Amino acid sequence: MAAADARPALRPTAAGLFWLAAVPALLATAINYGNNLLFALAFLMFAVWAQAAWACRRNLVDLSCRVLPPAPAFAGAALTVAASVDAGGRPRRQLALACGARSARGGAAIAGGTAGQGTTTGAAVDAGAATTTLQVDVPAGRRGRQPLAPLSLVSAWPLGLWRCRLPLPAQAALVWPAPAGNPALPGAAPNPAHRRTASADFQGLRAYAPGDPPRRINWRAYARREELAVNDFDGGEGGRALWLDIAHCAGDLEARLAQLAARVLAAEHAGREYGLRLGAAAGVPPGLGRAQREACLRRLALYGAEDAA
Amino acid sequence: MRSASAFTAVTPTPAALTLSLLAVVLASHVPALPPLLYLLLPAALAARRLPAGRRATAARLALLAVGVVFCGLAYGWLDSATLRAGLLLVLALKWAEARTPREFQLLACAALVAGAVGILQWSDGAGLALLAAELMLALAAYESVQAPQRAAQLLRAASRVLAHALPLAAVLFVFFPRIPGPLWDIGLSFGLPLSLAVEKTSEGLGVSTRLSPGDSRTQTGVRETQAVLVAEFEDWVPPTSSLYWRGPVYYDFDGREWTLDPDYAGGQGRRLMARGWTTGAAFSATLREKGREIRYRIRLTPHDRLWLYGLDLPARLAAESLIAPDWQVISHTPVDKEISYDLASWLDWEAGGKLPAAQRGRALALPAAGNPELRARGRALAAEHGKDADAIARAAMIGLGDGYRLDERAPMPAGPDALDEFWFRARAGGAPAYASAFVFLMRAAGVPARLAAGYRGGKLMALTDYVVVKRSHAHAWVEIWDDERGWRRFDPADRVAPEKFAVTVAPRSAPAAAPKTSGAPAGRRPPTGDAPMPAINPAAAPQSAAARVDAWELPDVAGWLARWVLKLDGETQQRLLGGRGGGHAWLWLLAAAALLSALLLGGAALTARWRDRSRLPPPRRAWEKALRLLARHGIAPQTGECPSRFAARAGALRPAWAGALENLARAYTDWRYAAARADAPARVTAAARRLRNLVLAGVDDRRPAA
Repeated sequence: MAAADARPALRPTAAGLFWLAAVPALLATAINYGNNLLFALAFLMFAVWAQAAWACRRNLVDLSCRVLPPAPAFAGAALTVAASVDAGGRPRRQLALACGARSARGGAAIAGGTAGQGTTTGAAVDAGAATTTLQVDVPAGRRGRQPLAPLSLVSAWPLGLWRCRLPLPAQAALVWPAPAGNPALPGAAPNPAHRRTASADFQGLRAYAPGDPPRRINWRAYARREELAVNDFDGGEGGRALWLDIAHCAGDLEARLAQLAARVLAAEHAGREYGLRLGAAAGVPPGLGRAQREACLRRLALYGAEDAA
Repeated sequence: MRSASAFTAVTPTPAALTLSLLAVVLASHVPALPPLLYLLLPAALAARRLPAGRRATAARLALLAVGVVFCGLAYGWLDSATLRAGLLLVLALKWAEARTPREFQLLACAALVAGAVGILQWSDGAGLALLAAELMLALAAYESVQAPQRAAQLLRAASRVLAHALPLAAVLFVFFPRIPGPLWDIGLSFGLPLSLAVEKTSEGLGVSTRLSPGDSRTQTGVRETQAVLVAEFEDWVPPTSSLYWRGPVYYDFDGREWTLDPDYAGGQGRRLMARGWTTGAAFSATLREKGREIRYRIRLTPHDRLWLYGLDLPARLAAESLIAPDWQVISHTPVDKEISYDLASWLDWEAGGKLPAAQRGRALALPAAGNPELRARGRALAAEHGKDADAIARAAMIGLGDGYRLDERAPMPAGPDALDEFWFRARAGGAPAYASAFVFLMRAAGVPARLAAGYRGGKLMALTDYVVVKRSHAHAWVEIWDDERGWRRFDPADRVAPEKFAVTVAPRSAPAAAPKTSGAPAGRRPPTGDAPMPAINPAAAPQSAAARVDAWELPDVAGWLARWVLKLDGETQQRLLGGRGGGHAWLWLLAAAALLSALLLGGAALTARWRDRSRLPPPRRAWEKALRLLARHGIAPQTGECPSRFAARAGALRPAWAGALENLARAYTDWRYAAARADAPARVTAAARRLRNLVLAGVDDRRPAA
């Protein structure tokens, strides 16, 4: 949690090395011309470089930083990692949350398997005591539980001659399979999940189709979603809750999982109860709502992997 | 005021800041800027307007090529103007294409270096202003790359960085040895072969077998900065102005030119052996008085002649060398490759001895005709002072008063009366002209005189015992014969240009003046040639008086700056670090610097702590104050101990305080954790005060027991 025990690592940046290289050049000129102003300039530049190291390190010590576990995201979308920084009594300048060792260069290659890398633009934590939240968006890699590239708090303040890096605890994020394929729900459910005991119960909403009686249009839902939805009632044969079955999807495994993810979203959108069947692997019993959706997506994300949870 | 606040409210971009930095840098180069660049540089900067693409790059490269080719053709490809033009154009064009923060950073850094080159064009004051402006702008540019900020903030940040950097920079500035450049000399003094740097020549003042009064050391076509010899002194480097490296000595003057003995000129060292001395001891025995022996090792550039340039006067010889009749140390054979050898010399001497008639005749010979005015002046001196050679020479020196200039480049009058023209009318010339005319005058006055050539002085490599002697140190001086004291040195240059050889360096640790002569004044016995100087320095007295009058006026900041910053050289540094303070001044300086840093850091830490504490709300402060007081009595809360538990434990330890402690703990807990009540803070402070009064009053029930 708190990163007080981690030691910040200090490295000169390319700009800092260039700055330092100017010092011997100036010294040589100064000696050659016997010019004290050049001596003064060379020593001032060296002293600025040395002092910047101290200031840069001081900017990152004695603060506490807590990484908030990243929320799951679909593969190919962005994972948002956030950390809250407690300045610990003195103003901090230009802090940035970086994911990956080479984050500062930007656009670094996404290492296979792990989530990508990225960095925030520097944010100042000026308020002495206030807690500030830093965020970094990193591209989510493939589905599954993906370890994030090493997280760290970095700062090149002041002057950008040095970069100080405070390592943060390693994080992992859940990456759902990206929804793809035909989002349409299977029409006549061949395998209703269960039967309702009463008929004409309100089942939920479904998208409006031409021919639906206008009285059934749910105007409140229209206000929320900006698409016409009609109230759906089960018929005499009972509820039409869906089993989304991996066996009913075409293509290879990833394509099937993507198709299932799309259907989960579509079923959720339509307000249909749905459950998940994954062949031999454990499925998800039917349900509706955010918890159900996330449970399903999680199962899809971890399909084929060891899943203790 | 309005405009100033408007300016500070602006948020300058890195591009704007680097542009203003570039503007200052370009302005610093203005005195040496080729005219075409006044056209090209604005064009280069304006190229930023070009849309990005391959064509824009091509246009920029073309601009650069035009500038460099033009300057190369006009001034020469490796000329400083061409290099300067190239550097500035590259900077301007780089600015035109810079887009990323890092480009601006590198640009600012490179501009600083270019600005440093530009500063060389300016006087120290203007240079300081330019330097300060450039440094502030560069730091502001770096800072603005980190985060866009208002101008005032940038200014503050840059000043803060500079202020923090100043102490370290000052320490480095004072302690970094000021080795006088060029860098090549440093290499030479530490063993680079001299021949790498020097074109071998056996011509020029100090080397040649002939010398005409119009000779200047620059006429020979070799660079003045070429090193002739490098001397490493043992123990102690004498003031460089007292170093006379003795080369050819001339007697024979035909009105236009001095010529040497054929034995010297022919390079036959051994033939001189019979007339000279083969050991230093034998030669020293002929001197009436001698003192302050110095030892040194010389590395000598080959020059195809015999001179080994022993200092006046040689005391000990190296192998394959001898002391020639005219006191030079010479080699048996011409020096045709770089050699090194150890010598020793007497710095203080009085020759004495007798002048053989033949030599006296040569030392008095004048050309048959020419220079009537000098002859007349000589006769007048003789009439005035009789046979007192010392008085005549002093009078002649005094005659070289105001109006005479030591100027190597002044044209020498020509014709049979050239020395007259020079001495009475032109009044400007190099050392050979002064020496020639002086010898002529002495001979006209009936005083035997000869002209010695060689080198005088040398460049002391700071903090080392090395002295590099260069062609620019070539010199000619005069020796006159005094029947009582023998040959004595007189250097007209000392009178004409006293500042040129001003003694600036204090000896680091002068050896005790060895066998002291009877009646000699204590301390350093000046070389004979220096003797007249102190009495006749017209400028010194009024100046020092004026300085005394306003000594207690305002502190002379500019003077201080000039002395300790702008003009701090190896010699000042040596005096500061190794001089008066018995060689430990640097320790004091370091200790003072350390103490100052400690005070600053400690002060900053204390202020920060005080600020932290005063930021706490008053009840909390009262609570912590009480805790500190208890801690002094050995009672401190343990980790994770809540106030009430702590109060109970402390109360058990000191029953006399138990009530107050419990009270305070309850008040504090109420204030800290219970619902806010208006009187809660006041209760905490009151409870804390009661406890403190109790503790401070010494109410302690353990004391009677103890």
